[in-house]
Amino acid sequence: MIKLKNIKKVFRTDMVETTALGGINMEVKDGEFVAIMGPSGCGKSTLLNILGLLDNPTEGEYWLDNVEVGKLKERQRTLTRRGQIGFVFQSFNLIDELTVEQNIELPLKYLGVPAAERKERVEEIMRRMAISHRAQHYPQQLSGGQQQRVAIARAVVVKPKLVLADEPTGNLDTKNGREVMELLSQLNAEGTTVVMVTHSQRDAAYATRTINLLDGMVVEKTQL
Amino acid sequence: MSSLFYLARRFKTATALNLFGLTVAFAAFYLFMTQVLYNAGYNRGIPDAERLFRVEAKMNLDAPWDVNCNRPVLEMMMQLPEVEAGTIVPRWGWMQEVYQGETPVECAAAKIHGESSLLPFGAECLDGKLTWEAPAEGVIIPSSLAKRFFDTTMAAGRYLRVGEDSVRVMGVYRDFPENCFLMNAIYSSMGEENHNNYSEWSYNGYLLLHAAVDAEAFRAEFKERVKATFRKVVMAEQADEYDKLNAEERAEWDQQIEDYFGRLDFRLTPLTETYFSGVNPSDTGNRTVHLILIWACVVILLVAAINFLNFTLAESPMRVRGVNTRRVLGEQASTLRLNLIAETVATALSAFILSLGVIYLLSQWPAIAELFSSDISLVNHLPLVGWTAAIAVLIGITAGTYPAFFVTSFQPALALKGSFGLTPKGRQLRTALVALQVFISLILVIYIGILYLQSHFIYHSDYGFDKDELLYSQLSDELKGKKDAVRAELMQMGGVEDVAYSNVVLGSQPKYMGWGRGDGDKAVSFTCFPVDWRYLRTMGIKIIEGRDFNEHDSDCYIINRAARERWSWVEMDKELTNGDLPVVGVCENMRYGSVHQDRAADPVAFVILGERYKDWGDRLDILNVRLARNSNKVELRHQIEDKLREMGDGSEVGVRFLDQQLENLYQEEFRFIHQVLLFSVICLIITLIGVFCLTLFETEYRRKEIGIRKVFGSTEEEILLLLSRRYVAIILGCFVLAAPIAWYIGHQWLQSFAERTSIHWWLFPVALAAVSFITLATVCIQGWRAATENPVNSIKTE
Repeated sequence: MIKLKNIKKVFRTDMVETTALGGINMEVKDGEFVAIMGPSGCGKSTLLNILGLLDNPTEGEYWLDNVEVGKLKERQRTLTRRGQIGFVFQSFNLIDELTVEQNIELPLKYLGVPAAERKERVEEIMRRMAISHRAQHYPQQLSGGQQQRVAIARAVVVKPKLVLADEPTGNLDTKNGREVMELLSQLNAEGTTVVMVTHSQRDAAYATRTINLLDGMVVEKTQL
Repeated sequence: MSSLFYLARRFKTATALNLFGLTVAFAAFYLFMTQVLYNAGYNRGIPDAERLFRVEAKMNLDAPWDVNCNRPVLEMMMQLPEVEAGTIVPRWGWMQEVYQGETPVECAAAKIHGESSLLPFGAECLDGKLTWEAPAEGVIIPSSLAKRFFDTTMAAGRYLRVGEDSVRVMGVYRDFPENCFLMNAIYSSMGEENHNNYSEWSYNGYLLLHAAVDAEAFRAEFKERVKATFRKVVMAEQADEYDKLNAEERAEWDQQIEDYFGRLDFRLTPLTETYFSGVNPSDTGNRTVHLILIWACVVILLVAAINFLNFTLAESPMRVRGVNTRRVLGEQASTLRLNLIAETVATALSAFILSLGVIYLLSQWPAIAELFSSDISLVNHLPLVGWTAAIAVLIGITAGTYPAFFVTSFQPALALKGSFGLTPKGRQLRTALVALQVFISLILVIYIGILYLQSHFIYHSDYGFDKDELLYSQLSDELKGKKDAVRAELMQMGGVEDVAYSNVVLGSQPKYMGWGRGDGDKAVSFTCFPVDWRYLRTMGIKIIEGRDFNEHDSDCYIINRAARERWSWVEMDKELTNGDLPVVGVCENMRYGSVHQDRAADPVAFVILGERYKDWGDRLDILNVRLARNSNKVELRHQIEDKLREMGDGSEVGVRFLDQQLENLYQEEFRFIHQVLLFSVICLIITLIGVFCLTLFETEYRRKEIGIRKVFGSTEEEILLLLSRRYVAIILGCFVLAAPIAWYIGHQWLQSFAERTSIHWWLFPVALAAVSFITLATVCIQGWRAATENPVNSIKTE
């Protein structure tokens, strides 16, 4: 599903040039659950942003479902992302003035799904995530675990092939963290490819494979 | 203060625009207030102005009030016991050429009642004396003129050179203030002229009442008091004859006085109110205009204050964390609030100081100085400067108080955690303020449209004559003696269609010579224009009944439609009234006076002065030239000037376009229109700055949301639509409220014009489109930056 060839990412300012990724080569197959680990500043989030088409690499090739997407323009990246990739963030990134239901509905709207179908799919995913009773609440009215469940519901409501999770349990307690990881595992078991960035060995244990990064390079691959 | 500077650096454009808006508002407030103070203070600089009254009269009860009266009746009024002093000034002043060395200087000159002179107006005598025992004693001059010509105010006994003559300076009076009706002129005594002439209504009277007099009661019975005095004076003058009359004849004599006064009316108008009365051409004040200017001052400050409040409100969420960190470190909330308020006061005062610089620069700019009848220099309005500074402080306090309390209203521990830019309460308040700004913008844009329509209407509506094709010139005595030759020469020029002569330039002044004729039911008063027989065709004035003048006509009238409709008895080629001249035709009404007074509906008569007025001499010294529609008018004007110079004494001859003259006539109207236009544009700019700043903050606060939406598949266009949709709703809501209010304000303003444009329906959608375009363009420009930003950066924002 994903194939990276010598991906480099360099951030430049007037004064400094920082190499975040120094030439990444990796592959993720359909249905895999891959954990990316490494110390702070090693390039994990940068790699995830490139995988999620939120950013372009400076150099290299990124093949997603056999299409080279590394050099797409902003608009093409957006259209490619729609319905294909779901995101889960450490800080949830829910929209404060939208209700739980509206937050989950958002990607469906951008995908052009008719209103009746949207309603059905949102209700279904809320039931699955056990947050139906919170449908009309605003994010500030929810606990961290509930917010992350909403975020996961929003990520998967369009039934994407790929879910990218950036430290999904970073802001959660152990119990809630475990629940979130089980949800992601369940999704993976149902066929969704998951790529997760994490610091946590415990969370990484849910993955089928771990990629270790150090200073912008893949240093070791471990097959579990 | 450091966090203020940090935010100022972070939002350079918004901060600069906000400061600019406040600066412009303070400068505009000052400028408009100078005009308001000028209007309100008109004539009030004259000593005892509250006891001074102008005599106003009606020659016929159906005639409008006028300032003209006859001299004997005015002198009777001056004898009333309630009157402390009074004076009489002939209706007409003139420009006098006084020589300074070999250079002629045009000075205003007028006659005045010799014994009373300027004394009722509290004129201060600086040298010599101000009242005459005989006209030959000389003239009195203002101190400014004395200084100019003699370099001293002690100029009594010295001589002014007027043409070939020398005129003795009898006295020097201190200049009257600029904003009063009194001219700082060279005054000479009117001597005994028309001393006993009851039919020459060409004098203006002013009365100073005793301090103890109940002015209102005296004004109420003024006409009766004048009548009683008139009866007493006339009876005393004709005592011998009256004694010989029997009872029946005495009753008849009494009835004659009753009849005479039955047709007349008199009243006293306080000098402090004449400016707004519009009775005299010099009463150029307009109360509606005055009130609009006062409202303009209030609105401009209100708009600026709202803007500033918006700005401080919009940036306050960004200060929550910084301010509350200080609280965590031990600072008192009250101290922090005071600091925050001090910051906004300092910002407002900075804008005030900048505005002083702007005012100074503007006062050096002739175009701006011309826009106001008042002096706009700072040194002459120090109290106003002080008030503006006080208002700046007040605005600073107002704009700082709520945000100061808002920022310090959170528990410090909570405040350190999150973003407060999108708290529902803050969002609602900002939305309400944006709505208020848009609401004001819409009213202003519609109002500007109405101003423009009226301005266009004044310029381009039908005047009843072909103003765009006409030139005129004042003939010198030498050219006046060669009128036929001048006409023959000009008619040979290609492009000159006709030439005619008249007594005055139509449209050059608000008021013209008034004639009163007839008596009883056929007593008429009208504006009279002596002309030659070619005049109406030259001017393009249409004949609607009877015929135009021809070369054989003499001592006859052509009256206008308004006169024809008012005087139902008029027949063609019959006398206008008993013993008067015949009417040969009726012409269409013309607009020839102020746009505020419906002069077009006043009776007018064009007259060819013949045998009956031979004592008047040749009064037709205005040359009127009609040019072909497609001729090169500028070139022709130069050719005519050259020809007239050649045929005259070789000196320069000024030939002017009539339409430019009309623009001068409506100078006050255009000045006001330009003032309001300036005010509206300033308000609009300030308001748009407000909208710009708010959208800037709004998009800043929504950066993260925009980022999240983009991550989940939103395109830039969809983001812009999202941002704009809210503003579209605000604009439409505001339009529903603003349109009727703007219509009402514009309608009220138009009521002050005798002839006015209609408020076209299309003005409203155009205004809506304009405000929508500007607001949405602002939103989109701001939104585009956020929409095209990499969402990775946006979602990191906290």
